[in-house]
Amino acid sequence: MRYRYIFILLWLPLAVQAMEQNTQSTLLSLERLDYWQSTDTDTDEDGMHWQARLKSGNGYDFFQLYSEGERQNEEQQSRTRLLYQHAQSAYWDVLAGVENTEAEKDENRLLLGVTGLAPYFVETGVRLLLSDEENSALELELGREWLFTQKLVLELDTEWQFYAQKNAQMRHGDGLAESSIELVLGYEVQREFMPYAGLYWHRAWGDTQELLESGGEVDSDWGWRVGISCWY
Amino acid sequence: MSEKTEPNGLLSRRQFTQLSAGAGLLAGLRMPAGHAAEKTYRPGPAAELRATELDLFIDYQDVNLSGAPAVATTVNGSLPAPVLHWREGETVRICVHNRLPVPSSIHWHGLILPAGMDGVPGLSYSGIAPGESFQYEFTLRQNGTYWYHSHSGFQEQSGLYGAIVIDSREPEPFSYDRDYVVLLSDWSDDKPERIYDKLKKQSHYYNLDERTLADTFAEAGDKGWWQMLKDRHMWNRMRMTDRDIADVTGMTYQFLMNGYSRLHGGWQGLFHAGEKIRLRLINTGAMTFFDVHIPGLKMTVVAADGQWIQPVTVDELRIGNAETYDVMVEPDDKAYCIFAQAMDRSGYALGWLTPAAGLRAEIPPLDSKPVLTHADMGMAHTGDAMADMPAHHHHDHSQMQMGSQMMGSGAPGFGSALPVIHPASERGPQVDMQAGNPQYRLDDPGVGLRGHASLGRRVLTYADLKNYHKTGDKRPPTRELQLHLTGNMARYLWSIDGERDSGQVIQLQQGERVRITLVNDTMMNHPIHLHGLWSELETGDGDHIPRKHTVIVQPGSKISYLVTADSKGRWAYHCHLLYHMAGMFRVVEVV
Repeated sequence: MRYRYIFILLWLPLAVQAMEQNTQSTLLSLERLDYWQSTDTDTDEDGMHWQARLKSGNGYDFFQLYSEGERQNEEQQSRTRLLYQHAQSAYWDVLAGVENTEAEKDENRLLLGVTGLAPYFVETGVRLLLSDEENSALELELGREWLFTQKLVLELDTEWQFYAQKNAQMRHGDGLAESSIELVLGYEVQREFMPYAGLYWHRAWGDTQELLESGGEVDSDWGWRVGISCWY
Repeated sequence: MSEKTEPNGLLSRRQFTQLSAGAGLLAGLRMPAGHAAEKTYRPGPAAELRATELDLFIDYQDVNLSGAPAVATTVNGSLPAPVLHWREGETVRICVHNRLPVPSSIHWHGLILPAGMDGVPGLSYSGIAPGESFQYEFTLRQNGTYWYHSHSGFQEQSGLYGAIVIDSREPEPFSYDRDYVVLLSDWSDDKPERIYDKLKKQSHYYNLDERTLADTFAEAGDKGWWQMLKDRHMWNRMRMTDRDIADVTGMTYQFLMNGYSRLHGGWQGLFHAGEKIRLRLINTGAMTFFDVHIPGLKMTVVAADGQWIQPVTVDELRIGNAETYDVMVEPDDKAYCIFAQAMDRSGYALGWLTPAAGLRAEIPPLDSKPVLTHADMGMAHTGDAMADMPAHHHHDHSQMQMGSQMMGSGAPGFGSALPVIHPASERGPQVDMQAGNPQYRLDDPGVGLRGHASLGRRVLTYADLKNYHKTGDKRPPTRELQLHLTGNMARYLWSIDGERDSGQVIQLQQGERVRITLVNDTMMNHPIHLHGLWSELETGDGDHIPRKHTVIVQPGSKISYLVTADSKGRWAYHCHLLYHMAGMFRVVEVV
């Protein structure tokens, strides 16, 4: 955990410096801040979820600080990424940095990735997370949005997680471990502010599913979420 | 003869500005609300200054153009700035005083003058520091309609622009009874820096006409699902939208005519029945192309960019940023609406020609919203040749060893005979498209105007522009420069030849005549302005090549003009869309 704060401290002066140069642009965005509730009546689970990003750069090179997490029953799980992002081609950027996961076990992984817009306007992210503790993963994210009107937006997002090795302590098998699909309807009150509501479906696969099941944890559920998205 | 012009309340304003600067406030910060001017603000006719020696004061000014108070950057407290009315042959001395807490400058757009007087910070001089002044002095070697504006930061967006009218020494080849400047501009209450920042973060921020699912269903209903999917394929593959017409729109802009917004009822020009009126149309907008028509009136275009052309009568014309057109109208004894709609139809500037104050005509409806076509992507009309993604391009780059300079050319007036070759630098994250088959499209009215003939509106095109005079320099060009206008819309990066360094120098030899061919590898219209030297647009008549200072390059097209390098110095050469300018910029140096 302490690593994360060291990273942030190292990064902030760069961000401030970047903001002072007018060729630089600094984006602060809270992409998701929502309350979610599972439909699984046995567990009656609910919680808060967030995704936030601070990104500063000159159009070609960026520094990025990203935070994503869940808060549930006084417990918090989060991951923080500190990334360098470089524009590689018209629609694709490469990423390199570190990701710190803060859950029952605190862990740092090296992150290498690609992010961009694929043909047919598919937002795409691929991340390779390298760990020296049998926790290396590959994550794939795809998203697409459609406009009902200029303000009413339908978003479909999906995320897939693969692991290189089985790791019982971290409760995942190898290969495809978990996936999620989310359908969200948002209303852009302003470009910078969008309340939304949506449905999610999440499930675990293979050994991961078995590990979760045997531990009495949720291995598959769907539910709804409602929240806001904003940026400056 | 000397004329000192002091705006009202100058002292208190100056003291205030100094106080603000002393307190370390940043440029462009809003003045405290509550100034009387905010509540009572009404645009008035811009002052007309006829002196050859005068003082101009650049300062902040409270305005209200949208219904909310805001602060403009103005000259002598006036938005637009005063009309400078001079006579050809006069030598003028203008002392410009900068009362802003930031550097400023004034560029005389379209005037042929010594490089040191051109007013571009970093090229002509170092700009005018806060609290300092600069004395311009130059001789007017031309007549016609021009304009002036700041060349510092984004001050042009916040109000620092005005008209220049230069009377001809010789009798003009047309006559008129009344003469009005019709200055079009775009105003936002948002600080221009903020607009630029938003575009950087979300390039479609101001586009309120994006394609919706309803459009998709409607299109499928029209032509069937299969055909619709086939037609959408190219746009989807290229990750581009055919609804991308303007970067900044009526979502934030108030469109002004002579400083009057719609909220002020528009501008009014009076006339007596039977009079012939000269309208000097000037587009001083930062980001807006205007399509101008006056329902019920023909417009006879007699000058383009201040230079006389052979008269051509039209119903409508598109005026790109920084262009000027002089048109003659002969109204009957009734009111007319001068309707200047933004190219993307997100709003309009409005004015009236009327024989009696307050008498009004009907405001015409906005025309249908433009949609880009395959031609605008630089593709053949048949649609079988695909616009190429940069990565898919294979060229023999050995041909480019002379840089972008190529020998051999078509006859003067008729454009280039050389092939379009995309330079090797035109790839990478800064370039999202290359026109696969760019064509000369001089007779193309442009996106959004193409169907207007069927509405009974004859639209001016560049093919209509023929110089009133015989071509002065008949020499064929000795060499040709091919420059590619490039960009990445989503990243909001703009460039020439895909080069990140926009400070590169194009060197011309004193006295040489060159052809510049611009190839537009983007899907936007770009108005390209060459300072200090005429752009002699090749419109198909070698004996009457029209002279322009700003040339629209339509999306996916190419265009050529001849340049005689007859004025030494370093000249700015750039896209006149304000938020494209930093990247789409070159220095032209005549040595």
